[in-house]
Amino acid sequence: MSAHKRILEREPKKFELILNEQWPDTSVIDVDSVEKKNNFQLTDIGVAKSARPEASTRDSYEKGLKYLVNSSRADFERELNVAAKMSKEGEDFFKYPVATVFSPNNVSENKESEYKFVEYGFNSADDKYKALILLEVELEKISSNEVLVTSARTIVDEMFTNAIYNAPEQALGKEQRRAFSGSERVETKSGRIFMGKNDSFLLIGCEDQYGSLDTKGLMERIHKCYDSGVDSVVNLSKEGGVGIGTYMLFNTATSFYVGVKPGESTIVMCAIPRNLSNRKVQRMAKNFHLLDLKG
Amino acid sequence: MANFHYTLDDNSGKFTLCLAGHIDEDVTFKHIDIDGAKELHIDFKKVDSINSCGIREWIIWIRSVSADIRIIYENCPKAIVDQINMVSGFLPDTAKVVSFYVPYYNEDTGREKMVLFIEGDQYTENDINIPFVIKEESGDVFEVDVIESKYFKFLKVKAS
Repeated sequence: MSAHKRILEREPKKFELILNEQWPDTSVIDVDSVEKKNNFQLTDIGVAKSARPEASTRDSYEKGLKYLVNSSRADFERELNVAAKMSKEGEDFFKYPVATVFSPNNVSENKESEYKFVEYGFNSADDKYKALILLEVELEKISSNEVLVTSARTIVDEMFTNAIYNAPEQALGKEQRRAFSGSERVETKSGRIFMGKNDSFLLIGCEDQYGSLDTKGLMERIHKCYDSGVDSVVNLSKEGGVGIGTYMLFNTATSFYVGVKPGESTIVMCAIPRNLSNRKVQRMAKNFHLLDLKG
Repeated sequence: MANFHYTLDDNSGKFTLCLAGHIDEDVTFKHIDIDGAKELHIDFKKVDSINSCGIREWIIWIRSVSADIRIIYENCPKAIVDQINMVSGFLPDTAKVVSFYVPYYNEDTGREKMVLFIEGDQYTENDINIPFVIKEESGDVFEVDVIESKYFKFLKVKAS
């Protein structure tokens, strides 16, 4: 019997023991054993041993799975608590996103400051290069690993592009995209890029003030890239987004966190390991946490 | 304003295009004049990154290059190899990669090194000979730090 099954069958209350003190009645479901026809409730936390992203992203947009945590990972317990925290006390995620990820059982302004090491505000496409330079300078202080720095740069770039071009379009329509991507730089609502770290992970996040992200559509696009290939999604016309940016974020990250407060805020964060080989990072099963807070 | 620049040299019809910086939504390649080129060598060594918009801009431009021009990619960093493997059309069917970087990693120290694979040395059109381990003079051992079936996929595609 696998260690994963032992956890679920011989110790059925293990997850409740991890979580119950702070978050009673948290529903934890073994995703590997759920029948195809079942749908998930908004606050259900799915646990798998090592889910493949093409399967887990499908479970998300087809069956409503919002939280997936893989038990094969060393950070399983912390990530399980992150899922519980986001599903039960989602407002804190918008106030202290970094602390929610690194210290889910003790979220506070102090913890946010402890883990977050850089933040950059923006309200125009012209702010992008300043953001990239600042973030690279800060990254190089904590790592000389070229693969890690390149991954982080990819994440920052895609997040910035989403916040500047896609968020206003989703909120206000295609005219806004044309305005922002033309030679005339129009100011958007202000947003921010930030980074946090603990001993094991680098966390990169972006917040916009539109709150227009559709998490179901997001996971569907990501799933299609895994299932049918990126070629089936990529938009080579000049109109609109390319359609693969969020897949690039998800594929680069080992954990993916999204919070949407309609009309107010969207936060997207990606975690990547700091001290692992690229091979181990690529083989790590991906977790995701999707919070749709009612407006 | 784009944080990107390029140089273009013409050596009797053999053009060498060196790209540098970030390739993104602010970059346009349409001003690159390759009239008269018989061969186009594209050196990616100084490309720092490419985002999804940059991928699109690149594919649109490279598709517009005449099929009569022989296209060769050189010194491709990992960021470019990842796109070659991810999106068809990034490397045209008629083009080839003559050199690209492969990351290696030392588990004990956490150090990495980028090793340049050159056609004719580590690979040919029909074969790949990946050194799984590289040892430095210091004695540090580095292991190849990619998933081979994914990273070298573009070579197998070309071979078939």
